Amino acid sequence: MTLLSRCKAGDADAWEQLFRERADQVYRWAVLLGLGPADAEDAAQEVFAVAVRRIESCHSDAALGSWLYQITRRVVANYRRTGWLKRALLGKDQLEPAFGKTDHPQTPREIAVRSVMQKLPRAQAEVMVLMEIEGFTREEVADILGIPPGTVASRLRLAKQAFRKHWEELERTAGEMSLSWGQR
Amino acid sequence: MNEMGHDHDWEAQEPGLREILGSLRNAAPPPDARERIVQGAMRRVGRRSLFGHGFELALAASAAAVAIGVGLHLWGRGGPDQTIPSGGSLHVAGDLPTSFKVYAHEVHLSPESQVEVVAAEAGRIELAVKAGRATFAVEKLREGEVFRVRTAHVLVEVVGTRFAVQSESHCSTVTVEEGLVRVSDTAGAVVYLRPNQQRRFCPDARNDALLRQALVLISEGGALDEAIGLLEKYLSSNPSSVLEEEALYHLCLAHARLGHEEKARELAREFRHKFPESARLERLERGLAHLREGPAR
Repeated sequence: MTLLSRCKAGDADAWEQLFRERADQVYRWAVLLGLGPADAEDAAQEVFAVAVRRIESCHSDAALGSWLYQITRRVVANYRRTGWLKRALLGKDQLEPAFGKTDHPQTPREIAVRSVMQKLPRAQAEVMVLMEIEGFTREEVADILGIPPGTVASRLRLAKQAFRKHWEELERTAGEMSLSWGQR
Repeated sequence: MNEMGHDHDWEAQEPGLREILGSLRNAAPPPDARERIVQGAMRRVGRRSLFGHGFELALAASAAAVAIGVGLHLWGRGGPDQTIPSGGSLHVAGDLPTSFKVYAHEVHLSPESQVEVVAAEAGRIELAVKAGRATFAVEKLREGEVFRVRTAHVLVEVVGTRFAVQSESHCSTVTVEEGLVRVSDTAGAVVYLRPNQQRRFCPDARNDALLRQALVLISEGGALDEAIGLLEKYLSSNPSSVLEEEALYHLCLAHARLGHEEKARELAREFRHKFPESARLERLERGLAHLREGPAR
């Protein structure tokens, strides 16, 4: 039996296996879609809770990733909508490291990439995350987002242009972070 | 584009982009966060709902047997209520989350967390989060009743609520879900947190010294440039600190006193946005009124 069919049969161990296999990915998506580490943790739990309720709508093991992403983007959108009060009261918090240990050598770059991603229009950032970080194909992204492949390509092109522009601005203002373009 | 839809031209022009974004390709949460996600998901979905009715019946039968067993045990002992821990006891969660009760209040420990019951007396409950994260569901307190949670960095006093305290090596994070809590840090600064508010408290003696030094300079009425430098350094190294309101307020006024109109107005906007209910807001507006009358040095 596949993992999906075991989950559909209500096998608790299969669910735990799925949660463990996908926790990193779902959390990473939530962070890259703009949530802070604490909200991303809660959102990841919420995504799995929704997954349990809706598992019948997932049709194959191969589609599990894109199916979970679709749930994640809806859950994250809800978090962003309900988080307006928190943001209004506390203002925009400085980004906290969200991945691995805070003293990890990649932390400055993680913060830099996330801060630049936050400046991109959400639709463009989403395409960039899916294709450039998660490795989905253009057709898969089109299927996940429900848009034509041509639109995916144009959003990606615009996202890259915008990313480059903001990255270069960041590079100018944060030379001490050693983020020299093209020297990595 | 290749058959995968990726853009080779882009890679040729900007070889760094792939690597920059690729650095997050396998990014993962810290191990303790991953465990919280998995355990939280298992808790939210509830293991029982994943099983068939046969299992539920078996579980119900087991629960009944355990309840009868515990009841007989307590009947035989006629002992005290075992749900109330004694002062000084330490509760430790291993790989799995755990919970305990102090009178009617519930304490939920995340995996790898430790909470010490400093005092559990009628009218005074004091707990200390020694490590990890704990969530507290506090029943309505009677007049004079006290429920406090300490970490190495903060003291949280409950005004009736549900909240979480996370203690790390250098910082503590307090998150309020319901009600109101009063948090004081090691420097004695006090802040009230409302639902959906979260604050991170990272006391740093060197940073506090920066702020103190700046306030001394301002109160002496001289060296405002130096005070501005100290305040900016404090704010950049201590974002979202409990004293951010005070630092931002004085920074704004120092710029106003030096006649830096644009900068002062920009900081005032930031202050209004971050602290819309601050008692200092009115005084800040009065201070900025000087700008219209020319700089007062």
